[in-house]
Amino acid sequence: MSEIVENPHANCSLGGANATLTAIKRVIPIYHSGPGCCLQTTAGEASQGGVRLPYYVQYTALPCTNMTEKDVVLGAVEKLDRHVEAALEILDADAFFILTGCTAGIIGDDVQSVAKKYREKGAPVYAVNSAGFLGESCLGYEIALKALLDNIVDPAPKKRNPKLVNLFGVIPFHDPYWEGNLEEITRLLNLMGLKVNTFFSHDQGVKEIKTASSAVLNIIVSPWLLKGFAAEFEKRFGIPSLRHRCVPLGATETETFLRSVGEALSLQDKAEKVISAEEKYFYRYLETGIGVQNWRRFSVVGDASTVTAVTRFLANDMSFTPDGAIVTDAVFRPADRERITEALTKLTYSRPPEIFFTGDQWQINTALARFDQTMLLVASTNEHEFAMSRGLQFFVAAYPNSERLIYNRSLAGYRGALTFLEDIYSNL
Amino acid sequence: MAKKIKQIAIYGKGGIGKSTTTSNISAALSTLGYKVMQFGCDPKSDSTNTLRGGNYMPTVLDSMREKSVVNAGDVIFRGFNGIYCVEAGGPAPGVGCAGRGIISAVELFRQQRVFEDLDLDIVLYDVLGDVVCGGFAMPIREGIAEHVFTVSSADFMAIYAANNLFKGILKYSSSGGALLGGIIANSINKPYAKEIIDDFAGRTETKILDYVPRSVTVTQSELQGKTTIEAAPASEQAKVYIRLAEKIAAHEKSEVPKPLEVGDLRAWASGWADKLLALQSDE
Repeated sequence: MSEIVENPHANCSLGGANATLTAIKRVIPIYHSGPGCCLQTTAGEASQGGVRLPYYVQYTALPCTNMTEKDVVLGAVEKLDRHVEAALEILDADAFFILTGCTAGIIGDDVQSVAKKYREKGAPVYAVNSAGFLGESCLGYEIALKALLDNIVDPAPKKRNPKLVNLFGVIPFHDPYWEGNLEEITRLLNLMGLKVNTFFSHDQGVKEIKTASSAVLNIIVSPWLLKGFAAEFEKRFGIPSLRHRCVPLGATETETFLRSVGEALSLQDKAEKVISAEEKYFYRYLETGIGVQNWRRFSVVGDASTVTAVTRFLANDMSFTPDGAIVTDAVFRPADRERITEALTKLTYSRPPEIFFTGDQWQINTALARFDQTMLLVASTNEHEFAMSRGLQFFVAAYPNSERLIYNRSLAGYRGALTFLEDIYSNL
Repeated sequence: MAKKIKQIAIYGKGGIGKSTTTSNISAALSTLGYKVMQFGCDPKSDSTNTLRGGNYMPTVLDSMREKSVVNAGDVIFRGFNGIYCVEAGGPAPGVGCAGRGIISAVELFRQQRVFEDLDLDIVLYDVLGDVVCGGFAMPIREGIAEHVFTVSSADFMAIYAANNLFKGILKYSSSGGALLGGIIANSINKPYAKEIIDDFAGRTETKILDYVPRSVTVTQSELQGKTTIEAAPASEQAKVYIRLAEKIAAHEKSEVPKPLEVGDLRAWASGWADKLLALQSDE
């Protein structure tokens, strides 16, 4: 179970849960952890993913119990209680989430009872068992979404909204392009006449999350995340899920994506209209850049969704040749690995890349070193040094990204594909 | 050069008579002229009761709870014959981490160089015997106790706990941890009880330091809030404890035990169950 990982490509589950919850407007986490966990996870997930900080509350303003040895030995539920009380007094939020770090998790502090006590007084305080040792960022994202499902989502929606869909699978901050990706996918679904709950968009918050149970479809743009969550959503509310193998990027993948949404909701005609209009827009630009868009061999390193999206776009749409596809997520179910492998190997006509599942830098660099024909490396900041040492063209697409400020730039849909190409063919 | 303080950890299953035995050894050592500290490492904090007439004393963790800085001197109390008594204490049942509490308490005494300042000869740690987590293994790690003794009866659960302790000792033995001095066989009255514990010692390649019979004198003394050494110094039982204390004071060389795997231990126990049944039917 325990193995040494050099330069991990993810934070712990506490980091993932915090990144997810602080991406929601007017939501504040209350850390029940040591001071280092609080600083490390808030600075880690947030500022390493697009070098930005959460909008509503940032790491220097977060309440944290700063557990010390005394709190470990004697338990720190009373201390947490005082912190929650103080947080409610001086901070204004629509929801507070107590997040536990490893120390609180090991000693088993009863955080749920503290949250319950404040809820009974009418304050929106919820507790999440998010101890870092549970897993990585991806698990933290799942833990946070489950906490939203259990605590915020309306448990008894009065009626279905036939135009409302929920969009899941894009992890805030952990995906450095998360905001742009959500914006582009939302834009496309809006064009089909749908309203999209992303939970994390600028104009959304706790109010929108509550309405998630009245949606008609959950759209999950990830090859492996949220299996249990999707099943639970269906069990509680009868809302089915549509899984797409990645964040759709480029004309071919986005077409498939929009078509499957159209089929799931009997909106085939609308899907075709959107595809047609968007392709016209997309190829209009592509044609004008034809003189510079030369062929490349490439390798990709990153989370499963990004690796799939980039590989499929560059191979299927741009006729590039994939060398290596290295998935850094801790994908533990064999069936999920098979699905990801299939998405990476069943390409339109390109030969498939070699596939690796590892988050370890040494293994990643060793794998990359085998592809001496690779010209373009799409990866995380962790691989930038390798790219420089080999004189490879480099593009940062995945976590950690500590080198590029990213606002609404995306690696999704038609527009994200255009800006991605702008980046690949820059500094000509 | 400063004299070497003999640090000894005594482990055993809860209720097996570990605190009774340890307190009597402490009392006996002090009557033999040694300067002794007994350090109770059990969240129940009742190790040194019979050395202090059963009076309440605040524990290290009580002090930690109330003060920002704990002075070890504030949690040391003098008991029978000047014995220094300390109780690590623990959190309220069901909260916090008792194991970390043991580590915190022992570390505090080490950092403040209490043993050296008090010019002690012998420190006895009386530790909850199931070694359930790293905290309870603290006294057997490098730099704390040098010798470990386990108090065990011939009951299977006590032997099971002793075997677990052996596993803990074996684990730390390669990194300078404490080694096993031997088994203090407690409540050994029937001949078959002696045979069982001897057999266990033989299989784990360990020694029996001594056999302590069950005695009503011990119970009578404890009801008075005293050790047998204090309450009945001339009794046969007191002589047993004095002999035990002399052996511990003279003990120099401990060894790595060879714990049984859990399946082997069960097989060994069931073999004894058959023998005891045969014995019963003979009677």
